[in-house]
Amino acid sequence: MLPYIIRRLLISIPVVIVASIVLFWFVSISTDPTARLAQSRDPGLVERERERLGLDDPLTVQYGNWATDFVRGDWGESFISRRGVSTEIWNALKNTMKLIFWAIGICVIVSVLIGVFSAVRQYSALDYTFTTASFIGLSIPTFFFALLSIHFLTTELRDLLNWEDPLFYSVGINSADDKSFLDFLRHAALPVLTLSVQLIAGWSRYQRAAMLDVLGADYIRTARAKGVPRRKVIFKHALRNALIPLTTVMAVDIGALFGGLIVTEFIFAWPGMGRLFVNAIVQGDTAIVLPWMVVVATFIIGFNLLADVMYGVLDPRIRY
Amino acid sequence: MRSASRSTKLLALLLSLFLVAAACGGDDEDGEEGQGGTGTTEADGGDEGEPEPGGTLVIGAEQEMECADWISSCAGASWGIWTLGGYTMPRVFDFDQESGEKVPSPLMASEPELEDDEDGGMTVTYEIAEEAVWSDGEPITSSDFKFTAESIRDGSDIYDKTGYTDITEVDDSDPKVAVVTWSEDFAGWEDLFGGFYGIYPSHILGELDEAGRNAAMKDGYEWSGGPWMLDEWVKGQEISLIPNDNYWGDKPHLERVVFRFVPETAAEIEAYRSGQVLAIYPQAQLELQELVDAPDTEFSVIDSLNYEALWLNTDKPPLDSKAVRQALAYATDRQAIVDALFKPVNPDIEPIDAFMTPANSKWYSEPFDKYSLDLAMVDELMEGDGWTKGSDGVWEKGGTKANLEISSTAGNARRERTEEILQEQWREAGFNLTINNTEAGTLFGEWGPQGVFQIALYAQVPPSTDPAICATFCSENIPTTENPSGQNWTRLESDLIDEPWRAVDSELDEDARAELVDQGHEALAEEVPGIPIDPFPDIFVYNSAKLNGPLQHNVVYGPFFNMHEWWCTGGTC
Repeated sequence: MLPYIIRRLLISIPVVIVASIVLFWFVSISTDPTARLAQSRDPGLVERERERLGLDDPLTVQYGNWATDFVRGDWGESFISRRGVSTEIWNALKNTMKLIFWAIGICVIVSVLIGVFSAVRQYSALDYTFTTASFIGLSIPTFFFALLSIHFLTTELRDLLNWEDPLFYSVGINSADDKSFLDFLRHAALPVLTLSVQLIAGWSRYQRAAMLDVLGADYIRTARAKGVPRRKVIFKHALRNALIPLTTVMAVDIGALFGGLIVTEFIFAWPGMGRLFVNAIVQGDTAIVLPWMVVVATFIIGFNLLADVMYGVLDPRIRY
Repeated sequence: MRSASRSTKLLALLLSLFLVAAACGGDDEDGEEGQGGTGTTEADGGDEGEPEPGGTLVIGAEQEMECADWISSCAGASWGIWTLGGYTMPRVFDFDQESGEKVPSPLMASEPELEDDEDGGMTVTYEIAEEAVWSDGEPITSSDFKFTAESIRDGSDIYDKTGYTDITEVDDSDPKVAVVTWSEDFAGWEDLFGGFYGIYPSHILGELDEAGRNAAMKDGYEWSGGPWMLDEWVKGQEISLIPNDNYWGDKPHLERVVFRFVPETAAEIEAYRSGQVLAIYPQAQLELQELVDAPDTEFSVIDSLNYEALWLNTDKPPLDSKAVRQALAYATDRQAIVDALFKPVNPDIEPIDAFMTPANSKWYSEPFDKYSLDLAMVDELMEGDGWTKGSDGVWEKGGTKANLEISSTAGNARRERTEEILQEQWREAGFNLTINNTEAGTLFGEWGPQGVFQIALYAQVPPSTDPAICATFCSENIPTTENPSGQNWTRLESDLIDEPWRAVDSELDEDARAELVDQGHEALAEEVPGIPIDPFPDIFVYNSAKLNGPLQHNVVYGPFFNMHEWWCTGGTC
């Protein structure tokens, strides 16, 4: 398996390089980091800033300079804030990981339970209910769901409970004067819920389909015919095999989440990777955008690789 | 049946827990009704009673500053001043909203004295208050003035050096008197050693080079020369301020002020409604009308200094004709545009009648009030310029139709609505208007400087109340190869405009300057290099049941400029 992993990693390198070139070109031609200086009355300021940032060099030279420094481990500093890029990305990554950790934990449990239940009780009232809810969850835009959840679970719920403070917060990671874990959970609840809705909707459908496949297999019927208890057949024999396709889907989805929480983080003022990316794009801060892209691409590639590896581990028939 | 039964039990259990929680919550908050946004108390402005110390006030901030080294090119965001700079950097002048005048700040022992030197330069003497000290107890001295002036004048990474470049000397021989000499008259001198910069502490930063100073300040600084000082700046999340115990003026009543960054407007409104923030200072958006009737909410709106206008590129026919430009001004029902954009959040709003807003009351006049919708005047001007109306109702001259194109920033709903209204209005008057919007970076970085537009719709954000606008309208500021950064994108060359506005830059006598400003405004209304449309409403929303004190707008320093005088009901926010 090790040669396979090495081969996959080597293939990933040109993918990252091509993606970084495309992104660099796109950001460079569509944004201008000196646009924010337009209100200055100093006629030479924009030129000086362009010179400082090397923006008048040809794009190939700009990209080459960045790539050389990046490979040497010098990620530079933000064009706008002048803070270290690695610090900015690391801080944002930590906050995004907090969301992903809780969301994944909840989504795995809930979607597996729903998937198993819907398969075992196929065409029951609850199966139809879960199916309908899944389609709604998949169809509803994240932006809209986030605002709905803020309105009903923050403002309306607080009014209903007649509390002074809302039960769930919708701004930031902690309160100004309370940095406790409970306070963090009250802040994380709504972004995690927003993030979870689509994941649960999708994953539970995968789990249901996989479980139905397995439950119809000969070895399951054989186990039941030999008198193995139903609960044991479902959870020990059927579920284990039905988890294989879901596991691979999860791994791919989780990798994409590291850069894919743009809307959620923006609405809930969560200072994570998505918000960092939006701010950098809007301001034309390629110093942030490119390392961000490389980090996210690394996560996506890494989790895709993990999915392939896990597929082999979970299903011994797979050989690399 | 068994599973259904379990589900029912689970639902019943959850419902019970919910009701218990609701009951507990209700008990806890007995007597608090009306303070949590669910009561019915009407907003009263909250300026009654004795100040009560304590409490943490949380305010919603739409933007986060990038950098706290105010003179550097990495700064420049207004929210930096509203969240930190305005309360930590001592300044020479405050802006008095009532009178529209600059008044000496508590830093000054007396009003600065201006002397017009015989050699064409000028001298200003600043007498610093004896009790004025930095947060570490060190006195604020004339050496701080000198350090600030030299840092800006000689720095290479400065956001705006205007006014500082001609400073030849700062005499700091008397620690409490700074005598500053300029080689040329600079009428906007009151904006210096203040405005968005303030005064830098030489005893802390004096030993550092420019990069060192920037590194020491860009992520926030521990010292202060104002009523508040920075406690913590959690990037992406919040800035919190605590009182500066060594401030020599009135000390804050609040224990802490926190600005939480909420970039999304709808989320900001919900954060206010749910009590997570007690005040917000949002950009004017129609969604805000939801808060007009919210309980315990003071919804305060005035005109800001910022305004939106149509900018006419006079290099592009037919806008090279003054008659056509004036006809367009008569073809525009500016009141209808303003009503459509802002009436729900500001019922009293009116269009502006100069390239300035009434918020700048000292210098504002109304020469454009002659341009109200008047189709007869449009006809008269166009026919006088040789145009005739075709069968399709569009003006035509020499086989060329009066086709116009407007450009603005794509995706800005307010501007797109303005363009649609203009299309209708101008069609009635005989002009074809097409819309060609683009990204902000392209409009401001390429199309504007290169003149690749015919009519542009965008805002001006004056850096201060100083009336000087030669940079926007004088002919020497038309972008050229030699001067690519020129800001006169209308490209109109007019002595009528140049003469008064150039003189405004250097006239030190206030009355004479006011007369020149009026002449300049009249010249702009005559030449019509653009059409001023609307002042941006300055909107401040706060919970009047919890927040007390002299809450009011300040068009220069924002609504939080006097937070040290605010307090929370019962000492708890």
